[in-house]
Amino acid sequence: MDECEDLKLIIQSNIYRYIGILLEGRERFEEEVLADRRKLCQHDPSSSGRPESGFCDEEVTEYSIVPRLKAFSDWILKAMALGNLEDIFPAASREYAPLVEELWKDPAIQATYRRRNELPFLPSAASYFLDRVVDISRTEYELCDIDILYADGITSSDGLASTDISFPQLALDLRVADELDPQDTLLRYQLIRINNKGLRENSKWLQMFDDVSLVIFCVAVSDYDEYYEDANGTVVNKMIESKQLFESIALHPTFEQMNFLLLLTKFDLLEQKIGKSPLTACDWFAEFTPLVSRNLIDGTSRSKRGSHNGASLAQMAAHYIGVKFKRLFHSLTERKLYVSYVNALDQQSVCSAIRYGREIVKWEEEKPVFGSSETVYSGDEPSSYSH
Amino acid sequence: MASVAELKEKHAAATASVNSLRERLRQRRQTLLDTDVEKYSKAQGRTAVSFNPTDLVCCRTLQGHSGKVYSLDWTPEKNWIVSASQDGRLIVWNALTSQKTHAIKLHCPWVMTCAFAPNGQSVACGGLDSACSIFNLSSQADRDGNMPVSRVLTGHKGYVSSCQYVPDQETRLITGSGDQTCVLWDVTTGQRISIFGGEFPSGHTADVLSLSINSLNTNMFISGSCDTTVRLWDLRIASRAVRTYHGHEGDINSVKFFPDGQRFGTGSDDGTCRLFDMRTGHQLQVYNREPDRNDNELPIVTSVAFSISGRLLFAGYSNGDCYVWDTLLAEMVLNLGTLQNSHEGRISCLGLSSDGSALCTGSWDKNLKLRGMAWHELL
Repeated sequence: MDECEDLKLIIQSNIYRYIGILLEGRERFEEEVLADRRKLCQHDPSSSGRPESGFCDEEVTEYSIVPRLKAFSDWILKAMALGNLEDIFPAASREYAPLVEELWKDPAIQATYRRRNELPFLPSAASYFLDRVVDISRTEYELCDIDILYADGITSSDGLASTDISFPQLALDLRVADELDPQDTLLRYQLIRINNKGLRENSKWLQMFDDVSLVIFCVAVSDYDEYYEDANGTVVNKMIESKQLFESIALHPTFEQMNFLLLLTKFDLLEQKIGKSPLTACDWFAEFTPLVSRNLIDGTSRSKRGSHNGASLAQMAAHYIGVKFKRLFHSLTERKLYVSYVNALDQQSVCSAIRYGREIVKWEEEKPVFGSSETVYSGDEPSSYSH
Repeated sequence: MASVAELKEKHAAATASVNSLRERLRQRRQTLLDTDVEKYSKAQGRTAVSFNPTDLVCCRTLQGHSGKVYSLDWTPEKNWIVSASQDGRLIVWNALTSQKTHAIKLHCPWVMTCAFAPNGQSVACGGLDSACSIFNLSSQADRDGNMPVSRVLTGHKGYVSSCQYVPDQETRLITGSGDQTCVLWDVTTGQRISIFGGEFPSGHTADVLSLSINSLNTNMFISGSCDTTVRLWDLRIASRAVRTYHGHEGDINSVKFFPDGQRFGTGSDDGTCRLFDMRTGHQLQVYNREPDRNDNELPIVTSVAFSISGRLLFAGYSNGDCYVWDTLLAEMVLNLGTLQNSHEGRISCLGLSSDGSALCTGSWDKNLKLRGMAWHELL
């Protein structure tokens, strides 16, 4: 039960971090608008006779909030600057929740939120939690699975987490049903989660995992235009960071002959923003030039003409990311990278990704018997095969 | 306000000048060192130690772990050994009878190091959980038959690769970590007394993999790191390392003080062991293996230990070899890995009993092996 309390605390204090980011953004946008106005007024000092004669003196913008809320906002921003936001708020979260809700619903904040692609540190799940801030901040708040799935900062950054999984006989997936033998149900797999935080510098301990059967590397495709601040204060593109981490693990001597499975996640988030934020925002994808018809406005395909096999822009982008990783892996190791797409919030999707991982492990084990003919085992999607 | 490009240039220039200064230092040292231990000993007419087949009491295998053995430690007085394995357990063995006296299930199975307290009543271990856990061997098992942890030392920001109790002080312990620091702990309160490295200058610039406390002057200890250096520390002065020792060309996996406390031995990923003089910093000797006939990659040294007199240096290698080096003549006088009943996998750890009469080796083949040394009084 302690774990539950800890998770609640993390989620509750995260909300204050999100609102803090929004408030910072609001202030920034407000200042930008005011600065632009002042510039305009400077160029035309004689404002008499103009309909908006009070324009230059007016300090109200679409990003402005009433003084009462401004005071609260200043307080949060100060706490953030001092770095003790986390200390203040979990305890007081219940009291301030209605204020946070008021802020969240305020048109100024909503206007700021609409420009969230300019707020690189705001996680995509922020709205999910802010919408329910009053509910979440109650002491009686009960965590549900979806909350945990959406929350960030849950898994501790030191140490590892692992879980045992097995594949029960009642597999509903008909494609694999005919291959199931009783032995399978006895086999247990261990899934070990390594946090990427210390991975690049501290790769010596990876030696302890030289006898794993498969390395699963997860990349969120929506990371292409997201950034974070590293320990030195440098702003880093998350996708580039993933690429570098992937390289260092692929090249690590411990994993020389190891199979790698790349899981590309958060396709739904990519889909939402690809229309406004091009894939080329990430340098690594600078050469992405999809053939798209002029009808594609918001990223969804409205006509087959000119588009690649009827795929939407989002699908093409996600596919391109997979191809880039495959080429990278091949250039580093001369081996094939297995790729699959996963929606981490959908249990079925996660199940079939893990099943695919298991199939790769089994193929590897069966290689001495069946040979490693590419024609039998190739394919990006899990497919049925008979032998 | 310098631009990023300018700063990068300055950094590169500074690094280049540090490297060239280092190279000059190295050359100067070489001219000062007119000889190494081997050449000097041979000039003195010393001959290598030799062994009769009867000198080695037959080997006993300690079986019980179901995963690779990563670390072992002897008690200072009784002949007990504690071993840590990837199966997530610490096992305490009575070396004389081969009996297991304790089997402790660990919360985090990825354990990398273990150590016995000076009074033999507690064991400490650490690993990928970034913490050092202490178990009191006389505590009662809980409902599930597990031994409760008596204290957890948290604070490291990386894995705990090595730990050792300060001799004759049950309450103080030093850990080495992947976060590039070493820490001196007060076990009774769980507090960090001092941090060596990290934010303070002159600390290691990569993971610390090993440490050794000077038994003749327990205020001094050395740490070996992936940054290819060994650093000497004074427990009373955490703010800077007393001395840094260069020479190795790869990660240093193991460091051990020489019995007289004036020198120390090291083992590294570069396949060599080296002997350094603590006071002057000179590299006194390099122990180089013969290259493999098949020209395979040189096996790396995972662990080192000295005999009671220091005449012998034991080195465990990644291919299962366990060389016994004549420290003076830099000759390999015996390879325990070629004997009957030797390990079938990488030797990950080794250690001598406090009276020097037995050598225990631990391996990735899941076993520990004990070999008695009949001639230990001589060497």
